[in-house]
Amino acid sequence: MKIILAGNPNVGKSVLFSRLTGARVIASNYPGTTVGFTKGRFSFLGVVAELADAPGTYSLNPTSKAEEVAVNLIKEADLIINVVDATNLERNLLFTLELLLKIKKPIIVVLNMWDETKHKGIEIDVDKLKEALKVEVVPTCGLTGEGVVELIHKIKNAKVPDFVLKGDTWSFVGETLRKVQKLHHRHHSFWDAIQELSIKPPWAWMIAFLVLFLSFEVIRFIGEGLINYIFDPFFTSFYSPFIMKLSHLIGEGNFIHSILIGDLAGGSIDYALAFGLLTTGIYVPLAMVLPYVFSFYLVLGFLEDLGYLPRLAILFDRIFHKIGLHGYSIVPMVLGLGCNVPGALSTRLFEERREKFIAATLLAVAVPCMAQTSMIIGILGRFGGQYVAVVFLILAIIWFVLGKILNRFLKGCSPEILLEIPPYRRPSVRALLKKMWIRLRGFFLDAFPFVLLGVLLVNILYYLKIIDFFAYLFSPIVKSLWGLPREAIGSLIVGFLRKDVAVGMLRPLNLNIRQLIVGSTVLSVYFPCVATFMVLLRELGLRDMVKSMLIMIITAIVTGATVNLVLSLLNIG
Amino acid sequence: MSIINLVELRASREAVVVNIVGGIGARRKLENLGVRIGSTIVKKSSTQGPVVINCGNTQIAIGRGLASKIIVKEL
Repeated sequence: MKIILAGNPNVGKSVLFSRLTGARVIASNYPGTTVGFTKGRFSFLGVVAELADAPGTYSLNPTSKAEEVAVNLIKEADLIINVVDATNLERNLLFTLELLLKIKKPIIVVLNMWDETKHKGIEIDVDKLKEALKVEVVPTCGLTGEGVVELIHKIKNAKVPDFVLKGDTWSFVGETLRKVQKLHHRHHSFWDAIQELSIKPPWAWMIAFLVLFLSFEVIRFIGEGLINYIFDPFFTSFYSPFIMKLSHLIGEGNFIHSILIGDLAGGSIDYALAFGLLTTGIYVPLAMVLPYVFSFYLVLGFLEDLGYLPRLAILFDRIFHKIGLHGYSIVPMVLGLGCNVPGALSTRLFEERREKFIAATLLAVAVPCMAQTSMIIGILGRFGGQYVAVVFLILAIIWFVLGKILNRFLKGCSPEILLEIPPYRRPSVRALLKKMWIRLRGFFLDAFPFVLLGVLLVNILYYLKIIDFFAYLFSPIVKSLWGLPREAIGSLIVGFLRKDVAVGMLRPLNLNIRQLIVGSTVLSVYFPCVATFMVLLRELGLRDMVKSMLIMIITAIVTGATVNLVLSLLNIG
Repeated sequence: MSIINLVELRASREAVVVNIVGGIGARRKLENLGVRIGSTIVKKSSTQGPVVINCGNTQIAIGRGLASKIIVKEL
């Protein structure tokens, strides 16, 4: 039996899904967290079924790719669990009615976030609602698991409802609400006050500034702390002696030694320089990237679950308008700062091809992922944090200027924001930890192998002298325009695979500050990593992807040269 | 009692939607969020950016262009 969880965005489908299947899916407090689908099996109380978690949709007429996914899944399913936000019955019932009228399949209505109705002074008569809709209605709370067992019990007996609509949809919804729902007066809470302030300038800007500043500081503090007090000491005290022993065992100078361990300078290990699988290949992802990925997702997870992202979207709406997007494009950009792959996926939330194209191109060009950022911090930050800031400033300028150019020359106009803003919710520690685990697991399973592959590739390219060949070929751009040594081409080649390894490869080249800034910028701009590329290819289609790639290459050549020139004139490096 | 559009409505005022002068697509998208002719809304913010309203228990941000197509009667 195929069961689907369907309903409006941000009603808690993903939380219920992981409750029912034990599968790990990311859930947050903003509409559009789920853009693809996850299927999971569950077998409980004699019910064996395949359950699908679908993106949220407001109707059966999809307006975006994400909604299309949901509607297709609904058509495939044998039974529909319609998840409804119990605190928002009126709007949610519209979709329920559409399901009841157009889809002749067994349906169970789930009144999720039941716990919140009590705080909000909403009283719903479940039996009367059952009677009105002619289907089973189960109140649940996804976070605590309340009502889930009852829901499973109902699955066996779910029938195709014999629902007949009298009058039009809205009058039915209105009448039903009058019968089943009672609203009690309640006092404004602390959250309500914050809610008001965080959309009203100037308070909203002050709050946003504070939130972004604190986020930045917390990410830096935790990231640096983990590196300096945990990972670096671990590597020096425990890992290095092991590697030294291994090095003696293999014997320096042979091929296996250079692949596994790499170059040991004067009997000591510089993990950033060695470029062996067991040295740099382990050190880069674990001790340079992971700490920042961890701290970034800690902060992001908190802001997501709190429900702050939609507020940020409202504030930044005007800026995004100038580049042909609307405020909600903040979602792909912020996700992209963690990893470009989920960022690229979330462009599915957009309706227009133009909007998707601009957002995807800007993401790939000017939004560095955390893996790349942490390496830039690691390598450029040694000379001072201000230089890292310079790279980010350059990327921000590229982002805005390129966006303006695309907006000017692409046909069509920018769509407008129309966004439901969820209430603030207190993030649950359990849910945060779970989400962190999903993301870190993704990092280990998807990123780690690529890092090792990248380091292996570096060795093979050098061994076969392929790097020399490309270095010679691209020397006019790399050397003359960007002012980098020819060998930097190796880093650009590896950059197709992994950005962190690519930035790491700048280190052995003994670059000056200007060259490091140019290199870090160009590496971010010229091409997304292969994982992001695959997603973008699927989401944009071949034609738009080719266009986007041309833009990336041109932008890389132009900005690399410009940055090189400007920094030279300023006598930096 | 004046008939104005949503952009012109002042913050923290309550109003009834009397018309939506947009295409069928815009109308339907608004309706999905509970905003339709006859809905009572409260405007929450009045800035240069999107208009934020409360409609029922839902808070919605609406771009200015779209908001100017929503005609309301202040209560």
